Amino acid sequence: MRNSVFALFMLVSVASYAASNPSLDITITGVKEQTGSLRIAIFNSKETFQKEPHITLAIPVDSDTIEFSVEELAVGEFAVMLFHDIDSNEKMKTNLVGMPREPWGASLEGTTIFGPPKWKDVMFEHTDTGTSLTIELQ
Amino acid sequence: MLRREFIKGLGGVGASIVAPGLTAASETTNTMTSSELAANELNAFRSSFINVPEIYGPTQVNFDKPLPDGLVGTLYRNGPALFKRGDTEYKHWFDGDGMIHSFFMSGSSLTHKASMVHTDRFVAEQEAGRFLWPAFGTAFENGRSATKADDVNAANTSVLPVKDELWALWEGGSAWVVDSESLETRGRKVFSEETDGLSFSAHPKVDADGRIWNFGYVSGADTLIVYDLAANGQLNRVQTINTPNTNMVHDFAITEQYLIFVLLPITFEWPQSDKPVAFADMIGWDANEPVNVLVVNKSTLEVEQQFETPSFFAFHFGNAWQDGKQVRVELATSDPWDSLNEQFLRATQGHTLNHYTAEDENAPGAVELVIDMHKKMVSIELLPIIGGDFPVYDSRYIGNRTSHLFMTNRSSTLSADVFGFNQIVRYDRQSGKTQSYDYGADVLAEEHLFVPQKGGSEGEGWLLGSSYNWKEQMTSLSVFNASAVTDGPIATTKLPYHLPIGLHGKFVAS
Repeated sequence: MRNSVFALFMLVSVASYAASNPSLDITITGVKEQTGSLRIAIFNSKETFQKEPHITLAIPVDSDTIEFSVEELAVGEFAVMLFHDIDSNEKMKTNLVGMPREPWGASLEGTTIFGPPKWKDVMFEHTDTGTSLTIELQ
Repeated sequence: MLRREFIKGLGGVGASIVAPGLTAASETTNTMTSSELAANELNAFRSSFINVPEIYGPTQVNFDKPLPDGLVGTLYRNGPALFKRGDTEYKHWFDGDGMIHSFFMSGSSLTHKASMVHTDRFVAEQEAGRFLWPAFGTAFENGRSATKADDVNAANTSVLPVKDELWALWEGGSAWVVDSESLETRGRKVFSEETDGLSFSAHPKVDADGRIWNFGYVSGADTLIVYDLAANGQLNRVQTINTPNTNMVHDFAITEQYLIFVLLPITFEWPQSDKPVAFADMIGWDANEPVNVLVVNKSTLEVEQQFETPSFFAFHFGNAWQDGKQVRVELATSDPWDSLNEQFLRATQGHTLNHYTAEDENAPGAVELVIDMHKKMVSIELLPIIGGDFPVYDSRYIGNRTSHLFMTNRSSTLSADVFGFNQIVRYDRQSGKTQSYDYGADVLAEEHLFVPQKGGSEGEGWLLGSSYNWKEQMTSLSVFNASAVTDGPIATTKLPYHLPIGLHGKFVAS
């Protein structure tokens, strides 16, 4: 609901890491249109949340459920924010005051929120046994 | 209490509020019967929300006397109506899902019908058999996230007739379109991509030429949104204004050249804990901060002048107009937000109300802001209406000087344990005199609208309003000669049921 919340979904590339990291398996549900791509940002600290993504990804949307794995994360605290870039313009469509106009999701893991997601709402612990997340598009 | 602060601001004498606090004996449960509710003054207001169906009518009844020939048309009203689903219950008047009422009147006949606004929220909660999302003043365990304003849109505050549509208005999010004939919900109003989902207030103003002005706000973001719409509802222009105090903004006024905003020192903070929270939990009242008065130019939609005044609280505006270099703005002030909000919560739950002292009861109600555009200063003049709210005027003269202001108020016959209004007041600016009609101790008066008499001069016409007899649990509709309020209703009809006490309406002449 604030201007700044979704401003940093300008995604560029995927960093490359050693293959020995635990896997982060993400399932995206609630896809309404099978077009465009999911644009995903993974943050690794409260300070950089919604400002500087640690990793960014773009995944084509060809199904109403999308599954993928991220193998580039060491153990630690992370948060996932993503939106469905339906019009493939690489930007989240918003209204005049920055509210999302394309479906979006976050690693809320059942947390109920009022207003835009904050770090405490979306942060999860990625451990050496790996992590599975299901994110429903809003 | 706001009144006290307000008097201080004017250099007057303070007063105090007696807060007896909740007592176990006064608290009610959901299992109370209708007769138990009726026997209890603390439930006078609350009892109107019990046994409310999702659809009323159509029900035809007759007035006790024929209506004046010129008074033919439909009164549309909106208000919070649904307060309980399954085991979940709302605690605040502003929480209830909106219900649109249509009262068609002609000759001696009145036909009433009503229907709930089927917002996305209403439909999902109906299916779930419980309230899911946080409301204005109530939050629920195991509920759903509210990530955009329309998730929690109750569409419960007012209506705006536009062509053959009614817009069911809330203030935090979109208008909902309702068919003015069938009262069926058509869908959420989206003016354009850039305004999709934005706040659209429940108090739009319609210029004499039909043009519609409105505003919205973004809590926590110092952002006011200004809308300029054509008479057919098409969006002409939208503009954001960066300004303090946009955490909760209820009403505004227009003049020939200006839009007038009175932005109150309501604080806002996003929730810090994981406990379920309602909007009212995120806002607060800072009496030490000033009220921010904005004068926005209608041509440019830019702020032309900005002023600060000592803190006071007001929901509703009367008329406003330019008088030479001055802009005069009628306002109904009331208690400060924190104490007012507590009264709403207590009244809606049937809890003991806070009682006012004699000084509080005599504190200012209606005031006039006098903005001197030349000297760049604002002053406040008191109007001789103590307390009261729901100010109305002859809207044919919106933005131009009017001499008559009508409000609902509390008379001394109403018990301090009963929440609401029971009196209609008319103020004549030229004579300086007020007239009033007292509905008595058993009746709660809702907003009474002014309906102009065709060809009549300013202030000539009728006042039209519903009232709830809480002892009998029945709702009536009354018509007054607006020039002779003291004489009492010139026609009244009683419905064969009661209606939930609502908020605002509009009359559409046939």
